[in-house]
Amino acid sequence: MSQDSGDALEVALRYALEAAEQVTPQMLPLPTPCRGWDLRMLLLHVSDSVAALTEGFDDGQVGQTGPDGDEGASADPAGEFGQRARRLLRSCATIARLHGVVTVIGCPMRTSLLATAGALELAAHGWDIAQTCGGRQPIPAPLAIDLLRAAPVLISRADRQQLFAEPVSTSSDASPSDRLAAYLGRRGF
Amino acid sequence: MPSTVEFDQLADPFRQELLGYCYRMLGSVDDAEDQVQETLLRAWRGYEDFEGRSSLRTWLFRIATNACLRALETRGKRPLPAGLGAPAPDPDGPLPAIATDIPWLQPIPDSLVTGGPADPAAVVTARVSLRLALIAALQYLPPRQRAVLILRDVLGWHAAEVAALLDISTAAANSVLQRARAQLASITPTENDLREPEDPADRALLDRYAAAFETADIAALTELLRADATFEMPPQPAWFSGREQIARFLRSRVLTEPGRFLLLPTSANGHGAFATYERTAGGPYVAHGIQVPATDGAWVTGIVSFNDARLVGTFGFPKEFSQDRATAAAHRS
Repeated sequence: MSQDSGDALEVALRYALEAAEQVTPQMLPLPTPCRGWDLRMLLLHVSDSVAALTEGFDDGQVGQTGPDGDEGASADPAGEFGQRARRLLRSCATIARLHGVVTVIGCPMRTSLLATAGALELAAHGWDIAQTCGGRQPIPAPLAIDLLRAAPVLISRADRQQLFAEPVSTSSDASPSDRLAAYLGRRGF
Repeated sequence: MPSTVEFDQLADPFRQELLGYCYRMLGSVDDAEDQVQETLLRAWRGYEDFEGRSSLRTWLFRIATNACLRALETRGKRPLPAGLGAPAPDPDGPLPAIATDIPWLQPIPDSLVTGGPADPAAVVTARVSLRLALIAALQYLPPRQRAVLILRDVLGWHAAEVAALLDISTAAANSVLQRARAQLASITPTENDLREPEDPADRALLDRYAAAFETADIAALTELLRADATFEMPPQPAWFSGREQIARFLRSRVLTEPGRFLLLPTSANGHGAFATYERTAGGPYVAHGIQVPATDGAWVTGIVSFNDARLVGTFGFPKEFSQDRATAAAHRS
């Protein structure tokens, strides 16, 4: 990657935060590009992803399940996501941590790989949120270019069936943001 | 005679040290584990003859030395590709056949040999004396010289102790040591060797190396290699020397698409290292080998990619990496 994985995570976090700031309570029931999820569910999901990443950077390990059990009850999922994302942003500044090792479900892994996976997750869902709210900000081009390179390492065919749709085709002159969204199975929404 | 359980309790504190000794003698974790087993079995059977004239440790090392010397009578030395011939001239040319008949040098997981001494100086010595380059060089010494050099210069035994162990005079033991030292330029650690393994610069360098390897970013990877870096990949006997040659070889043969390889962090021979996995057509990554990049603090100076999937198990990793756990972790819900 041309930039550090910590930088990529930071840019992705800021992008997703900016998208989530547009959310109003009336938007929460709106459908999103993620099949079967309304905006409330999507925000709860990215909020938990951010909690998992923070756990990984702070404790050196990520378990199968998170510590929280009552997330579905949150009255302000966008605010909760914002709070968690800003906390993770502060961790990003500690670049040294990103050259360490984190144990993910029992297997050692480079912290930087987890950071890149987090950047991909936040860029993808930041795009989903931006599309849903109508702002439609593109994923910043340098980030999208880096993630297009990293995505084949992070998404296997098996994952595709569970977590992402099949890639859709784009025109050759499409922007990096559109190409990344298409790679992750997202059509213009 | 003590029961096997009692004997295990007596011998257990020496097991790790014996494994490190046998590994340095034999250049193979598999062979070293065999000889440690053999040593402990012989020691248990002969325990009645152990009269306590030496410590149990000295007695176990005497048995282990004899076991290793016997094993070395019947097998050739374990080389790395660079020990067998000149580098291959053309990175894009055909490669020779894989040489599975050569007993290649193997890496050893740090977790098997460096958990012991708490004394920082001893830890540094243990780590430095496990460096792949040194283990490879040791294999070129005649076996008795090798034993004397390891006992004296690595394990810190006195001349008289080594002489007693080998049933030779102290003068003879010193003479063997001088010959061994002369042949092996020096195992005195250099300033580079004394850097901490957790040195942030090294960690960052290896992290960038792994990310470049995974994303098949040849340009980024080339920037990390010293101009005279080497790339070896036993059991393939061909190897490459020089940054540009390595880049050309990786581009045409190895890093053909992003995501072909995944590198999980581990440590081997006192270095940061990686368990490598290769993606299969069906999706999951399967165990591929152990990669040990050597660094000098600023550059990657040499890479040995042990392309033997069994070693991944020796290092405690699974055969398959069936899901992309990083992605799954970020997706936890």
